[in-house]
Amino acid sequence: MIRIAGLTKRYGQLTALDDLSLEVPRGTLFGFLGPNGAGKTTTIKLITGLLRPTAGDAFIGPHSIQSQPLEAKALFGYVADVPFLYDKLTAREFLEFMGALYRVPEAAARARADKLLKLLELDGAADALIEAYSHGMRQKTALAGALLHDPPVLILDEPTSGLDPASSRRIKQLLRGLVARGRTVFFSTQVLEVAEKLCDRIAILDHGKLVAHGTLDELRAAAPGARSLEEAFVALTRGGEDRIIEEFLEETVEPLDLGALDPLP
Amino acid sequence: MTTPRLIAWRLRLALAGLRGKGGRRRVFQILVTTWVAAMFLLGSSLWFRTVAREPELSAFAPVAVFGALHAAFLLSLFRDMGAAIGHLFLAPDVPLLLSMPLRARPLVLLRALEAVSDAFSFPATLLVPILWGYGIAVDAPWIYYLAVPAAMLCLLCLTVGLGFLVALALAPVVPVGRVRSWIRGISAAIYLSIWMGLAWWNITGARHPESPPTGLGRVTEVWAAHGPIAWTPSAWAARLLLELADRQTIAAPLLVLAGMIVMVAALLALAAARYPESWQKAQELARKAIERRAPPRPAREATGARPHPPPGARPTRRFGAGLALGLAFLRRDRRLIARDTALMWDMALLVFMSTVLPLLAAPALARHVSWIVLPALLFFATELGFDLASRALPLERRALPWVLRAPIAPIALCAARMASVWMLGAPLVAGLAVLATLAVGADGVAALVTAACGLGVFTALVPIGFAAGAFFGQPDWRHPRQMLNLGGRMLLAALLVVMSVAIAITYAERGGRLEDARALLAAWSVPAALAVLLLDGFAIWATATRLRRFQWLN
Repeated sequence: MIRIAGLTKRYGQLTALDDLSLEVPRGTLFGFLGPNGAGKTTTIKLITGLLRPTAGDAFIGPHSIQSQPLEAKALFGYVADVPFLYDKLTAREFLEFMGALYRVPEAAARARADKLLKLLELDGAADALIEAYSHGMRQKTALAGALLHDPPVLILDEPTSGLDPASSRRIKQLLRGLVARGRTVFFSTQVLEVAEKLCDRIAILDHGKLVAHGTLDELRAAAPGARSLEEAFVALTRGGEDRIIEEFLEETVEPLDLGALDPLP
Repeated sequence: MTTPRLIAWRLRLALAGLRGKGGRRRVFQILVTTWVAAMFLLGSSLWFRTVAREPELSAFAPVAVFGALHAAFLLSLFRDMGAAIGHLFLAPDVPLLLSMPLRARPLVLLRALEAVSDAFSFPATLLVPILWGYGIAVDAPWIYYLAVPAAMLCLLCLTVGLGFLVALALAPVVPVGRVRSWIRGISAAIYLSIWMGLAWWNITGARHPESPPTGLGRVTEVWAAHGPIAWTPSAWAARLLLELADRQTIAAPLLVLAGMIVMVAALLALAAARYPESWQKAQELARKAIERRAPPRPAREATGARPHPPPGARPTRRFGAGLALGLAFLRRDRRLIARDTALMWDMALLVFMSTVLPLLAAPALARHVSWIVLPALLFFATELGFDLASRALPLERRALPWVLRAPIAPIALCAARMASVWMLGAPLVAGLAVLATLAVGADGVAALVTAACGLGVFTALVPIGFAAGAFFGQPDWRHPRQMLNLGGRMLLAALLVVMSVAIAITYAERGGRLEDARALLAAWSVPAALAVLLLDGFAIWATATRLRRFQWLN
């Protein structure tokens, strides 16, 4: 459903993404992992057409995001890492606006918006201005906006960041349910537990390069000795991490004499 | 989504701005704007009527109409280029809209309409009432009053259209932030040249119409009559309005203006198709600029030597210790201001524009030459002191908690911030005072007295501005002008009015004799210094209390 073919992005000397090729089949929940600055958000921006690749292309369904951007964009819903919402609209009005942008018939958009608001526990605040929302409520509103036109593909950049455990669980269940009904979800996250429990396939990116991808078992096999995704992730992206921490503690942190602590003057 | 629905949604969003947080303030702003427009209408109709009655001056009325439209067009041209960059490339909802299946041309049209409606607030408040005042004075037909806003809209369509064309052409080639700062620089330069022109006009007495213009004045006159200025859109708009007011046929200017708009619209329609690509390229350029500025990453290698343990954090609660922190804030502020050219230009502009009023009044004060410098300097010191100090806290934006989390007591923090502001602005005031006084031929003593007066006013305004920043500051500003809310700006306006009245009363009482004023200053210097100290203490206490409550960040 999503095909990434040799996607490369360079900024002068810096290569943010280096010849990435991936396929995400229909009905897959695909986790995209990587340390900070690995190129996850750049990849998502390239797939959604917000950035132009230096080389390669991305396809949503049969449509190239480069040559048929409107057709490709109609097939996905997208939630950015810091989603923009209009502060002076209510969540209900925002969803109405999203429905209009995607040409969802008005009555259908209204009915679906009501259901999404209820599902994401926003129905109590649906008519309050977004400026009064917490971070989690904003995140959920953005997700509702991306789901409003029932897209076959969902592209989510850190969708569970800032959510309380109950909301996070609900969204995870929702994503699984969508995938079970043939939708494709491509999402980036820093929370390895989420990826471990949720994803059918996982890709790990580091310094703009794809270092591993496959099922959880395949990733563990790629990092010998790794028992969990976290261990596999660290082994594949940051060798020698423990030694660096030990060196820092040894060189810079003196053992603390609790008796020598004075109260503030 | 169809274009009309998109536009209808944008209108709905604009109206939604009147709701919720800040909504009442916007309604109040609209009321204040209406009041200001009414005052301009009253003032201009009286002025034009007076000018029209005097046979010697009646020729100046149409010249004033031409001048007002030329100035508005020139200023709008550069301001709208900056606005175009903002609307097309920096608005926060651009990624949202571009990730949707929307065609480029309706999006650009939507952005252009937003830009025109934003830009219209300036002429709606100032220029339309002025031109209506002309209509009232010359007894223009009713259609003239409809034609004035229409003509303004035509001019704005042209400036916005040209701004969009320039933005679409430049953004893929030059980082948009840099283009914006160039445009701000050019706008500020235009404002400053108008300021200098006004100063020259008034101080040299060049405004007297009986003497024929020479040099640059002559060139301007010839250009305005027959040269390129006569072919500018503002000249055609002025012709249209004057001929309409005079009940003549307006076919020629109407056709020329319509032709210009059609041409710009056609060019924009061609350029708009490539908007998404331009946006993508602009993103790349911005990222490249950041990469270039970033220092090279240090290699990860352990050194054999055991480093000295860093000193522990020391809590600072005392007022005096806070003053020592002032230097640290000064260094950081200088970096922040120097790296944000938008902020620097905005402040320079506000500060210099504040001296326009006293310079306009210069001929009346010209009995003693120092009286021309002193009022302008006092306004300069007031505006600079208030502006620098009131922006000290909003400058931190959302990073203020970082400062508040440090082991510094709020009282020490306030003292440090005020000290840093004083150190930043005082050399400017003193330097300008000495330069300006010596430039008008006064002696060294006069220069010192002027500098002392300027510094005194500046010192008094720092605590007032600082407290105003804590109470009226807006940490979520995007444009430097938004760092203070309406209340803060009204406070400054009130201070400037008080200062104008004080200067006028002092001048009337002393009859323009500076020697008397010097004696007065000497007598009042000690009580004034004590009052400033008290004011400092009060401002620090009030601001520290405010910061302790943390309400300002809510």
